[in-house]
Amino acid sequence: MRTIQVAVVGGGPAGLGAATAAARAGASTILLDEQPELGGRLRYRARPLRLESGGPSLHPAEVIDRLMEEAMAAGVSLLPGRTAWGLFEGRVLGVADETASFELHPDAIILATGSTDLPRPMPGGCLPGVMSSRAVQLLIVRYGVLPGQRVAIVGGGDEASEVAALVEMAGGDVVGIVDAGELGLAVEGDDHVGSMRIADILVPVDLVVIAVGRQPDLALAQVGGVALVADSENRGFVPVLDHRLQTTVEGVFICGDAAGPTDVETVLHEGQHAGISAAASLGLVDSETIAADESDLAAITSVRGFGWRRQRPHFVQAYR
Amino acid sequence: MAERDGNRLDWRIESHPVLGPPGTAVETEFRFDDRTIRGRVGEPIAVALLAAGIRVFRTMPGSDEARGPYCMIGRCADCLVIVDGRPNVRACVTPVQPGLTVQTQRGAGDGLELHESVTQS
Repeated sequence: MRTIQVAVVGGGPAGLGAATAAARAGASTILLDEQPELGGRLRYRARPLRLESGGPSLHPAEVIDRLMEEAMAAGVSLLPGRTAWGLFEGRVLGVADETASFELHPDAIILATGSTDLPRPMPGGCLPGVMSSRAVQLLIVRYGVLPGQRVAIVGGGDEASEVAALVEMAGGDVVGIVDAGELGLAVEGDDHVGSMRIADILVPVDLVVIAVGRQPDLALAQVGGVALVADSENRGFVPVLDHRLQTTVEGVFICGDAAGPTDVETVLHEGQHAGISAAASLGLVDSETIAADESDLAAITSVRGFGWRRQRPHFVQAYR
Repeated sequence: MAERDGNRLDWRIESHPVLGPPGTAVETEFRFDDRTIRGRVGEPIAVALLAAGIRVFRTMPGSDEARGPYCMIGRCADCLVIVDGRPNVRACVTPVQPGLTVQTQRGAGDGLELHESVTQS
């Protein structure tokens, strides 16, 4: 069996960019994603984006196609439908698909595991008809289904207004956007959402969307012993990363939303840097290229606050 | 379980200015309980069921409370259904194929033994 030099976990914009960059640097690279389709957040995004500044504005589905083509052209083995469930000492990955579980022993691992939507527990919140923001976005954008007509959105800011606009475009009626901090929030109904309660106000709805933000998906990182640090701005934990996006576990790198939720343009670039970092850790990148990459990466890491984490090692001990 | 809004048989979006018309896809049929459901080959079973107005996919072991899709990314386990006799299948990440038999999953699915602390809740 051919040696795997770099394994990328996560096939969204960050992971695809990382895998392509590592492969172009000469590393034999595979990419795993638990979903049957690659693309990550690009699968449920409606707004166009540019792959480079000044470039054409592209539909997200087209961006997925382009990123996949680039990865395959660079020689990356794309493996959707595989879940990386374990990360053991010595960079051993436990991977499973529908029929089997097996171990991989790559020389370097890039975790581009993205984020998950934050919950907002409330009475009745488990009723059918309560869905996460990205669930509703995926249904509308990728699959052309809006599973409700009178829609309440719990949340605020850009997250809530974007999904509200999407629901309206899909033909639904947004009856209100409710701040998640409201007291007395509840969902009522017998076997399905029938109404939204805000204290003594009862509003008939048939779909409740939870749009209160997202948090890094660090389950695999935690299992692998990666140190995390509390991040009050993101209301959760983020990994401790050095200036080359390496975690406290040697040979394990993190990029994208998993390093802290941010916009897709940032994660595209950050993924490329992670790929170069991983390849460089295997001696595949010459010092000139590393130096040139360093200044680009520094521009990202300073904005993302990674330097701050490096300067506060005592938090690492508290949360390891 | 009765579906909501009996007048609305199809929850698929026809077309709208930004998202464009629905793409071409191979249509097929599969069974859900006593109904025949139209779906597109390869789309998640959950999508076809939601498009048909079905909201309840399973019931909780012990309490019989209804559950339906929440996360759509295979993480929350609220969309579990029985497919061709196999329980605990995540409808949101399992593709529609022609001739599938899908059923509402009541409880934990056949063959699983629950600890007494769950069944007595």
